[in-house]
Amino acid sequence: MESSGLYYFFSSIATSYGFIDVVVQPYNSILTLKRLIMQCDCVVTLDNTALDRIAVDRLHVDTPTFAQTNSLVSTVMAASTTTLRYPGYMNNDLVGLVAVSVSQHGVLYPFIKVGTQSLIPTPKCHFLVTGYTPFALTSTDHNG
Amino acid sequence: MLDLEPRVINSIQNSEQRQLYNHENIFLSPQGGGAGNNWASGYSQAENFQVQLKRARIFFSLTPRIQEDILDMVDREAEGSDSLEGFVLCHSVAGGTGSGMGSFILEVKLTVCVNSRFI
Repeated sequence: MESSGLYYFFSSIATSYGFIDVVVQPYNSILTLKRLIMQCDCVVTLDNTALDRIAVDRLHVDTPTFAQTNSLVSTVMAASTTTLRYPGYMNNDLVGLVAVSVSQHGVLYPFIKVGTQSLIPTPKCHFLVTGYTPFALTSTDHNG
Repeated sequence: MLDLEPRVINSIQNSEQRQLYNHENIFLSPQGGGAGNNWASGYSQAENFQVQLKRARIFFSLTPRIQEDILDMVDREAEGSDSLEGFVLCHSVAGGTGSGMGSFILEVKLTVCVNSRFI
């Protein structure tokens, strides 16, 4: 946030545009997305349909269960928040990535900003898309 | 963990993973009716909790607190951390509880929390 300069809100959200089972789903989404754009520093989006497609295409599961897609989500979320949850000296953490984009606000001065951990100028990243490899289903699918 | 209907959280609390979650950090709606896939319902219910809790604290400040405030949960966890770097809020955008109550918490609670505590 501009005001504090120290704290960043990350938000992981799950959308399901593929199978709209409720008519007001687009309205709910738009109302929430406004808050996500205005209030957060960074949003990680996850799509139910995309997760199902990953499970079908890449993991060769015919009908993905919730336990299987949940294991994908938990893997990605755990990996992307690792740099927040554990201390370290790596220069590629998520806060450093967003700190550049937060500090600029129009003018890109990432080098001058004190406390910014990344020296690589990046554009304003608000909606992040995650990537993860190698993907494999763990034994969690036996539980579900 | 916050939800306006008890079904999912009850199933988690009856499953093998129940020791994974702190029971003090689970919030369930007293009505238990859910938000009916309605953003406005979730938003207004979350708003009402705050208003009711404020009133209850003003008038019945000696009685034991019936329900933990959502902000108290966040605050307690934030105070316990050594160096707070941020918040991770995980919610859905299409349903009622996740989108409505989620965006209420996002725009009111967390900004109030950070502004009052750190500025």
